Amino acid sequence: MKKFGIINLFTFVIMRRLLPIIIFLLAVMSASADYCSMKFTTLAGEAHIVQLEGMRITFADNMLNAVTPEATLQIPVADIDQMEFSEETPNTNAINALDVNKTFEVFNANGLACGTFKNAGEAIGMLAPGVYVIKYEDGFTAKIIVK
Amino acid sequence: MKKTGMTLAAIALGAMAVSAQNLNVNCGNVIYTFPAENLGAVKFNEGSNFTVGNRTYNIEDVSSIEVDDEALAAKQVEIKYAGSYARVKVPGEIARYVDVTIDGANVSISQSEEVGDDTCGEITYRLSGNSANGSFKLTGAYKCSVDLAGVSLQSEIGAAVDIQNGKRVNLRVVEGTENYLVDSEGGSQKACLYCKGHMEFKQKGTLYVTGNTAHAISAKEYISIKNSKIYVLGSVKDGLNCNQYFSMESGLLDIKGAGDDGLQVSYKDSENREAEDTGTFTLTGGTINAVTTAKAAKAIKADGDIYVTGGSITAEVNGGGLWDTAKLKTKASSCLGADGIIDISGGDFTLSATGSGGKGMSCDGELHISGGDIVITTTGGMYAYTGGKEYDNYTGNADNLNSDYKSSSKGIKCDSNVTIDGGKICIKTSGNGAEGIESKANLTINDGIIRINAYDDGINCTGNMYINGGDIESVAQKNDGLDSNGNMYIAGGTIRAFGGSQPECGIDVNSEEGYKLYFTGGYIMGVGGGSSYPSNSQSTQPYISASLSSVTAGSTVTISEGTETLASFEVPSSYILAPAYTPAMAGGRPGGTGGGMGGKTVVISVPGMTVGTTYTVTCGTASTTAAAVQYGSSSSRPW
Repeated sequence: MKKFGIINLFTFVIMRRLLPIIIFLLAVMSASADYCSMKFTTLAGEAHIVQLEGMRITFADNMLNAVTPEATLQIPVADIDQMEFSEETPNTNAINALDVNKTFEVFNANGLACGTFKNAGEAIGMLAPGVYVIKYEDGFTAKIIVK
Repeated sequence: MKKTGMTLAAIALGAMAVSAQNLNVNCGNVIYTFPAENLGAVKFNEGSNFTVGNRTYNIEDVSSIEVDDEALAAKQVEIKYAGSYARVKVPGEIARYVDVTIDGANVSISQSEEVGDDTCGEITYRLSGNSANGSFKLTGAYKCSVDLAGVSLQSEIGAAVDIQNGKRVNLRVVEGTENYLVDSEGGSQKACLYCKGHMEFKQKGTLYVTGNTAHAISAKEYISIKNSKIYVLGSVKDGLNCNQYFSMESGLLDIKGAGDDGLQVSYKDSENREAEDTGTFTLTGGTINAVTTAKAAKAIKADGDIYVTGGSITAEVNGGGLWDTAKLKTKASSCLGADGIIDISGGDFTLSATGSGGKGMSCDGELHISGGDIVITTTGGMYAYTGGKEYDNYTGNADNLNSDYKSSSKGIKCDSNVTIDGGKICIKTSGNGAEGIESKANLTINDGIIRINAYDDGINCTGNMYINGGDIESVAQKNDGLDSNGNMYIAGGTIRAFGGSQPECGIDVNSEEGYKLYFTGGYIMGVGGGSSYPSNSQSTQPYISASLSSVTAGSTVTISEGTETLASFEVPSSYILAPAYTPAMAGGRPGGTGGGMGGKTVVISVPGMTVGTTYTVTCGTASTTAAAVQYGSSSSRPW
């Protein structure tokens, strides 16, 4: 009888008091912090880390293009070993996609159109250093910095 | 404290649900979603493809890769239609088991044969959105669920939903949603909503289906319905067609505009049937409304048996009869039709047949009623095929027509035994030749309330008739109230049977062929132009036979001994005073000893009557006396 009493008391305490707290703690633990970046590692061992927010990866002409509002990373697909979510700080923050063969419009920080360009290389050659917003034909937009 | 704890848990669980990051691999409008948590590295392979989780993607098939934090239910494929296109989202854990092809808004999904208990288990496909040129096709070999979560599809290429999966398919009509499915005209599809396996409708949403080529809803195996509200708005063939069996325990099935049967259940295999291949219709709850106007169609048709223990059926058949040129016999419509038995122990029935030869219920096997509330109305006349011509209301002498060449309307027609153990049955037939209840074998009534107002015989059987209980009121306008072509045994119950004018009877036994009438109990009154009488010592309850000048609707017939009333019998308002008998009515048959010219033969037998005692029979102002006898020298009819 005493044993059953102890079990019942334990069950009661667990169910009424501790269980919600346990669930809360487990949930908070499992809901770990979001990743902030995507890490691309080449076969040569180079690591390119791109911020996750607003990131969009596309493939064209055997190249991987990872475009974020702040940066564009372009790597030959054949050179990539893997990509993975990461908590590391992005290290790719300037435009270096010189052969993105997609037409886009460029707007300055005041929203004024600066022109339409066939690729990033052409745009860099024409634009003064500063912050711009580019808009692709498919509607995708990104912020770029020309140094 | 308890509230606070539960709130904490809810907040935490909510946080878990919304904070998850996903990697979305977009292949056109197909999105494969992998939770970032524990995803690991995405490996690239020689520049041509990469592997995420358990699926490898060719670079050329991938339009983009993005990250979001939209929660996605586990093992649930989301199919969202948006006008001219559709978007499909596949959770990463099942990505390798699902191949999606999209052409405009026509979505085709192939579920891998690897899917099973030892891999990912059951997958759910959730459909939502609208498309006026969209469809959904699913192939697979393991059970699955298809959720209709507010989807409207009008297909231009065939079925709106085509599930080529031979296993169990949960068809969940999501509560709070309305769903519309319309298929293309002139296609080769079997139905607007088709399933190769067995389809179980669940949840409380609403589904509207239109079948423009064949059936509206069809399954190669069984269909069951629980909770869902399903409206068939029209179909070229059956409203709902399935094999093995149909069962419904709740919800609504409303079928209108069916080009053939409203609901048909067939055997899946013609031979070597599995145990569940019964061809059975079973209703335990819910509501079925079925209307069909097709000739010789059934509102509900089962190749096997029909069982009803609860729920409600409102059925209407408006189509007339049909001459079957292959079988060389007539076919007629029926609200409920079974090649096997019909067994009713509960439920509410409102059945209406307006076409020529139309019936309320018909079955080849036995009919058993032990409960329920049944109301049947038929208005059709006799369908006949003679001299190479079809007649929708044949009024010629049908006695010479083979039964294959004629079909009369009937409240209930059973080719086998009929047994009534309870329930309430109310039947009205008004067409030429229309009987109330007909059994082609024996008919037994042990209990129940029966009210019949028939144009022809009220209750008729080819074999023996046994009445052991119940409350029976049977009015035949042009024929016999009770008509047994074999012996008739009345041992209990309350019976009021009214026949037409002479030569028709309240109670009629086929004495010409030596069959007899037995009274051993019960409160019995027969009124008609004539009557059969007990003629055997085994008939132990005495009776009287009297002739009253009139028996009118709404009046009461009493039998009394002195001042003691033994019994009173109400004459139903439906009883129409038959016209006075004329020799021409006899149709050449010899005149009999019944009620006489315009008079009413009244036969009464009640417990407590004794042989030789004189009793007074009164109806309104009409009154007469007669002495009780146990039996006569022979049965007699007025012809």
